[in-house]
Amino acid sequence: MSRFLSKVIFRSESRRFLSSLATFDVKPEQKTRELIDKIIRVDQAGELAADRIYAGQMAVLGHTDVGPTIQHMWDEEKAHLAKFNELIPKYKARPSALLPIANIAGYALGAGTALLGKEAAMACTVAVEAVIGEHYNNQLRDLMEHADQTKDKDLIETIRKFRDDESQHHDTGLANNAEQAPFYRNLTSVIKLGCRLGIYLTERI
Amino acid sequence: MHQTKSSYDTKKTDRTSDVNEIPIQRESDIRDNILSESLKHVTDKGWTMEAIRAGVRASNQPTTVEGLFSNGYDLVDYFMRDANAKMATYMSEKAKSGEKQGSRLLIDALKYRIGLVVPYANTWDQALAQGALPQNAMRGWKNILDLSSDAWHGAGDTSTDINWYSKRLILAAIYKSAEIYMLQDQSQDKIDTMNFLERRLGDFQTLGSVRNSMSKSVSDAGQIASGLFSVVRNLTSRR
Repeated sequence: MSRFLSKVIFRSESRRFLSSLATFDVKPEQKTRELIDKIIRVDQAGELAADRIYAGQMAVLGHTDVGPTIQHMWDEEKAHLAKFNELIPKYKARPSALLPIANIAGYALGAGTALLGKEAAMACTVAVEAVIGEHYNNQLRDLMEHADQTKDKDLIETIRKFRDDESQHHDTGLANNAEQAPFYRNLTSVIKLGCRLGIYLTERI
Repeated sequence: MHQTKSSYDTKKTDRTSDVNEIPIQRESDIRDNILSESLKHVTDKGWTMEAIRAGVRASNQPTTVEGLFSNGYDLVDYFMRDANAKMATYMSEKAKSGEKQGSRLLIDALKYRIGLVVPYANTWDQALAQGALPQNAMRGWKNILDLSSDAWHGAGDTSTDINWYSKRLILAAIYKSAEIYMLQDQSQDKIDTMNFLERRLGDFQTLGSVRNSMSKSVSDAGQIASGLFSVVRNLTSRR
């Protein structure tokens, strides 16, 4: 179900076709600027949400033996968020209007899955990081196609590095018995669907 | 005597030289050039297609080029975008030379921006009335929001959350009220408008909250009301 929805929402041919209908008078520089604006907006909201997810998980599981692992991942997410906060004024991007919702929803997700147990918290991490890895890869592909490689090198390098970090978090989650969480498949599908919906909305709003 | 050019002789004429090429202009550049010419005709013809046609004639373009423009609002839109760009350059120059910074820079940039509208003050109420029509409202809003975004970026704003939105909306509202004030301002060089802008922005800086930055003084509210009246009068006139 989630895969079907993600295909519908992210079918890149239909996205480009629809955008080309409406933009016959738009200069290429304008399109690149809009792309970068959208990328930075989504990523800042995503890193904020990730930061809050780990905060929620730490609030419940901070004193258990996975506490240090979660703390380590949380610190990396904080660094990611700081980097995007720096990029927003630099590229004159608009932050998402849904940031307060991302804040609350992230904390609720983190705390909620942590209350279901350590393995469920790790399953949540695995699901979120899988979606984010795929999302960063899509962005890198778009940037390679549309953006100026020399001027925006910093942005491309940043996204590449963050994608590698998130992929490591994904593997950490799996290594910590995420697959033993109750209803692992359903839990991860629902969380992935929620993340993709969040990405879709934040790109636009 | 083999001085005659034979048609097979490819060495004499350089067909690949750049000098013979006709430069291809982008459609948006052509439109911008014509609109900047048309601005000179606004005081007598208003912000209408008539002024744009005069601009087309003045820039020696064929009259069919008129098809690139949909209504008189294109002229207002161009003027606002151009003025925003000039304000952004003004701000970056002043910031680089270090003469002004922070809130002083913001206030002076907005005064500069409204100073760019002052030469057209007689017909500006027409422009604002056109901007209130539904087909033009989106573009008008976008230009005002771009103005306030450029002003904040020039002043070095680094907010990354809901403040980003509130700062821009408040500044847009203040600037808009200053433009409306300008419509009925009879003072020399619109000095009263500049003082109004200074007062409103000063209030905003010191009190810094949405509720308090709305106009407190009764006389300011009266001036805004009479400016709004002239906008409404233009909206309902049968031109």
